Amino acid sequence: MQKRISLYDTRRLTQGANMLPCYSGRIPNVSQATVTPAEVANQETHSNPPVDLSNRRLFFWMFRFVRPVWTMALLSCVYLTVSIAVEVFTLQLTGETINHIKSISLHDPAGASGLTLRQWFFSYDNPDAAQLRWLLTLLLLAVSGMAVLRYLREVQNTRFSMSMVYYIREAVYDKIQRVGFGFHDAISSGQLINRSLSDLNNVRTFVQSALLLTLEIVLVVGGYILLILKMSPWVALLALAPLPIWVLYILRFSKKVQPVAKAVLEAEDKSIQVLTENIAGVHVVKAFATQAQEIRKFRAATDSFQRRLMNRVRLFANFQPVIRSIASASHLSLFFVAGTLIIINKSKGLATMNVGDLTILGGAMGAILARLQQVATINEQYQNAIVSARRLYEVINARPTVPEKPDAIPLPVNGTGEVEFEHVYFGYGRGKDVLHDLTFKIPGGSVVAIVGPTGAGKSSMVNLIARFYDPRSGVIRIDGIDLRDLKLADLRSKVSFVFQETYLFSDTVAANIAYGRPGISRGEVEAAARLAQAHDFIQTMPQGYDTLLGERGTNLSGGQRQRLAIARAIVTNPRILILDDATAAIDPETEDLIRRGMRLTLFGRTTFIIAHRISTVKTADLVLVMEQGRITQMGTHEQLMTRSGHYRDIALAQLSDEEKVVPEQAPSHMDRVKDPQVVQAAVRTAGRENPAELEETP
Amino acid sequence: MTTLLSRLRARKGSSAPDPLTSDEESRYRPIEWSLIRKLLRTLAPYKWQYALGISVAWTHVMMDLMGPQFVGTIVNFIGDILGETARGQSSGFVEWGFKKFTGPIVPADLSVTQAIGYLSVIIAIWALTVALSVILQRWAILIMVRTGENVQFFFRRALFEHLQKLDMSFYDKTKLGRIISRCTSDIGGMREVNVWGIAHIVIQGSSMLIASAMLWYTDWRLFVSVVWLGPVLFLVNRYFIKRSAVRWQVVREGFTRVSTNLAENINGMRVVTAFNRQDPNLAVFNRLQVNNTTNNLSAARLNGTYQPTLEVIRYVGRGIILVYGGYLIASGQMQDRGVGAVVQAYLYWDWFMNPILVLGNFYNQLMMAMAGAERVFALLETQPRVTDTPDAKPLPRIQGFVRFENVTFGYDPDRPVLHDIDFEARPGQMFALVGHTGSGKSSIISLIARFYQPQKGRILIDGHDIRYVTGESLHRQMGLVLQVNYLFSGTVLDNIRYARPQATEAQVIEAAKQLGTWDAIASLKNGLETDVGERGANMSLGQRQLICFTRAYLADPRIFMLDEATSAVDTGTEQLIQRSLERLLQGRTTFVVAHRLSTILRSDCILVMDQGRLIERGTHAELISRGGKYAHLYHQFAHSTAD
Repeated sequence: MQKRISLYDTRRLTQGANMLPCYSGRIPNVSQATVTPAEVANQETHSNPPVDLSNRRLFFWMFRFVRPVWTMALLSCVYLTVSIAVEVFTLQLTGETINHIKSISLHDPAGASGLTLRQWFFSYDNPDAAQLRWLLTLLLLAVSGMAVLRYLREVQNTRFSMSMVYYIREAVYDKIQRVGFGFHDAISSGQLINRSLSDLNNVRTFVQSALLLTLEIVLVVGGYILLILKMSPWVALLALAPLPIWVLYILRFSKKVQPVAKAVLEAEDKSIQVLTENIAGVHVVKAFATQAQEIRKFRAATDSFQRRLMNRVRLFANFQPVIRSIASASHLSLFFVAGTLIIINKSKGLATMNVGDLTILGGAMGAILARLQQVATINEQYQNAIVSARRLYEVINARPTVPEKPDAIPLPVNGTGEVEFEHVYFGYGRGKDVLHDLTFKIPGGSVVAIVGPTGAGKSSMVNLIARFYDPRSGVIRIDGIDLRDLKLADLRSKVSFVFQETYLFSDTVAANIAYGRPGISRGEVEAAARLAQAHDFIQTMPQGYDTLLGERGTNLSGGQRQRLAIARAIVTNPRILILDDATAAIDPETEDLIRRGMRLTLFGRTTFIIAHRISTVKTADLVLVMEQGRITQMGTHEQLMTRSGHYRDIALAQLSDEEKVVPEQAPSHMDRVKDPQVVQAAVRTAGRENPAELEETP
Repeated sequence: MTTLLSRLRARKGSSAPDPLTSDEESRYRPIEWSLIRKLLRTLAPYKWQYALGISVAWTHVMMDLMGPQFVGTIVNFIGDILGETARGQSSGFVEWGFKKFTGPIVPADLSVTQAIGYLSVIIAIWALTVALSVILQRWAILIMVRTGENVQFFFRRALFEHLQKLDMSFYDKTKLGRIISRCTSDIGGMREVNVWGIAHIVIQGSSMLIASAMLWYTDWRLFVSVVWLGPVLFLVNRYFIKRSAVRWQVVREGFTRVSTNLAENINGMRVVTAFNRQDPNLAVFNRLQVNNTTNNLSAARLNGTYQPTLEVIRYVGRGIILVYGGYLIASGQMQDRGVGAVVQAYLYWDWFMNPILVLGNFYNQLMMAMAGAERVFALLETQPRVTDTPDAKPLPRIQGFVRFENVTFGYDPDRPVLHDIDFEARPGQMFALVGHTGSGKSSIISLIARFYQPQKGRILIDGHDIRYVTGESLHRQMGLVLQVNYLFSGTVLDNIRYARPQATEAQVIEAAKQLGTWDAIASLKNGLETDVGERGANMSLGQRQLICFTRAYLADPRIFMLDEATSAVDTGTEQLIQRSLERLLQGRTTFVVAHRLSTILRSDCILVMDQGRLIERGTHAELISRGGKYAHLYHQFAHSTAD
């Protein structure tokens, strides 16, 4: 019988994307990356050419993901085909059983033969009874077969789709890990996270439904139409007549719904943004007493959210009745035509359809209409997937920005850490050069300080040493070997970084320190922590070295974080150590202690220190002054103080106008909100869409 | 439902404390009358809309419930024409009415046109009920969703407005993510109940009752033969729903681990690359992925059993009706009602079964809504500790006297962070607060801003105890710039006139010129119209600070508080900041948590704090000559820079 389209199905269409049994959280608006150094932030150029694939080619490209799991996909298709065959068969069987029962009741075999009905039913020689027994057994088998197949399909579909996700996600993840910094500068990490979660899920969903749902629709519609055709071509014609209108209307609707649904999501994001900013900036709101203004802002945002939501509701409220009207119209006319045919045939004394046939017709019609409604789902999924596929393609097919040569060599064991720049020019992506003609040679074991105003190219220069980027022209050598000839992993294990922005992982303190050398002993971890003046405060933490850090763990102050990052860098025992403004949040006292401790370990390795404080720079063997991408001064502190120039200017300015007396701040509300990662993560975990608990599966 | 909850709890308790899930909030909560009453009270203003919506929806469902009667009538009519039955009674009231209209059907007497005419009439009437039902359905959706969403938005706005009233101590102890999920996922969890809750119970309940009545009325023996499946269905349904809620919870947690790991590594890509962690990270990631797959498969296995079980029960019911109905007809016990009656019963069986499933699912949604409602109401019922007293008066335009009288304060009343603070600042004076971390400098500023209330003593501004003035009038005359130079997304202009939205662009430019920040602002990509990005992400630290200064300057406060930034900016910007700061402080009573010696040297009075006590006060020269704590700090500092 016709599947009821109920009042409660309002969201059926939009739930389409959710119907597969895998959890796919929408990631709301993961905002700007935090890892991009300020000097790169404004670079929008892209080292990889944008994808100019046609939709057609992208469409086929998506199906390549099926390749590693094609056997699973095939099995899914087989289960599907068999189960639909059984389904059609069951309906036919039901009709036949009804007809049979009715025909028996007409000549009343039990009454005529003088048996009770039970005796009749189990009598061996009565052909009617035997056929009824046979039909009922078949029905029972068919229904249990359907149940078993349903189970197999569910499990197999999940296995297929989760394996597909596994492979795609692994590929995306590994590509993101290895593609190089140039790529990450072009695409923010928020975007990348979205690509590897929701874009990937869109593609997966579409590929799966394109295979299975399409097959299901084709088989079901084809199967039932055959069934109807067999019974009555006239009725079949009538049944088919509204189908094109039905499909066209659904497609048109799903096209109309998309911008509306998008507008709703945007409005929702906007209102969440107002909320998040209000809470994160609560001290500003309170200090300026702008609560009323904030409430107005939120009202405006929610008003537009509500208006757009109601637009969507109205759209669906219109959709439901039209769909139901078409379905009911074909359902009712089916009854009318079948009835009329029976009446006319009867009057002409011809063979007619009967009640069982009507049951079959009704059931078949309902099944066809219900399945065709899914066309909208596929269409919607396609629209999402084609946009997502483009973004995914961009990641998966990105060329590594610093490719390793096939015959790359490891760094020689006995090097001293000599660093040489020879006429190095460099710019981000296709942007203009930020480094011009850098030429210098640092003997192994030196301590080099780099000073200069923001945007002078200091971070860019040290990034080249670990080959995070390749120079546009010129050569960089470590211990006499061109970086491009070296194995990347080997090079990076010998060059250690303390970045400008400290990034710690949500793991224990010990694991964070041992990040570059997992598996080292606690003793080594502690030794590094002591050198970085971190041991004392770690000791005071609740679980010492086993304290969890991160969003759900303990909050650390900026200075504490930097000291952990320094410990993390020391522990790898690098040949070259780079401190990119790594002590800005550490008070001079502690910095002094770190420097004293490190003086021992700095021995035998080359160290680059980017710093603003003259007190930090003073003790370096060599000071490089950078301005506008060029090295403008070079020498020791004493030498530079005797020459006029940028260095002496800032040194004098600082000595007369000194800096911090009291630096470290206790973690507080402000600390939490100022860490953009925390805020991002908070917004992420506040995700709104939960998957329906028990979605019916295809 | 206690089992589900206890299972969820037990599972959590048994596993080792997992950093990613340990403080996850519960998604379900047993149904509690006190909560339901609160919810109903909130819904009360909308009761007429709900009543209208429910009655329209109810009528719509009743119209649909007539469907099987029409099918039965048509089947019997055709049967009569085919001469297959000879019946006295009708299958239901529709056929009864139809018979009244046609009279007894004698196939031989009936012409083809007449027969088709009768058929047309019955189908036309059916079409009418369907059309009516369709119209009512659309109407019901609109009313119910509009009402429900109104409630949803009422909650959102009420929460937001309530949040504006809460004081800092609330924000200190509540994580940002928590507050946001109150307004997003918790309210979202209540949606289904607010929109459809009452309608569900009324409509599904009554359609189940009516379907059983119809079934009974069609043939009581058929009703008895299948009605026992109802409780079975209900129990089976609950059994699966409980279990699958647990499994989906596991799936969600597993997926959260995958996405958290992914996000963390992408955000820390520089560190990952620099420390060569690609291989171990991929291994960890794939382990999480395998776990995710396993969880999904386990949920799929359950779901793969659940759906077919329901289907089997559905088929069992259908089978019983067909076979037993066939038997009744064959044995002549139901002959006079016709095959139509069996078909009718067959259709009503679905109507009987569906509400049981719907209500079973609804139970889970109700529990989810309970969990959300509990937290939302708890937040709405949180009382701010700092509020305007009922007799609070607006503070008149002040001169800028600030006086602390024996103020003792602790964020936690048992652990004071300020002890007996006593000082007075005169209009236009600049006070520098100096001391170690945790010595109470920021707390003093927070108290002047009335973010918190002292436990002892009082704070007077121009002689007014700030407890008894309105917060609005107090804050209008205060400026605050913190280390975090917080900007709202929007343009630079929006941000500068944040505290004075009515200021014209010309006034903003004038203010920036006076402050000396205009050149820096004008040199931005789009000048005042530059988009600052989310939380000011498009601006450098120095730019953010200058915008915050201009914002404070435009607000023209009488009392100004500054927590000096420690972050390094390049020297040029630093000098600009210092110059504009000097300008900003002129003629205002100022409190600075100082991090720069130059600032301290400039101040009229230095307050040296140590462990919550005010241990020294005076000018730089006085304090140095006194040779106390300040002198010690100063020498330490001088030493480290001289090294």
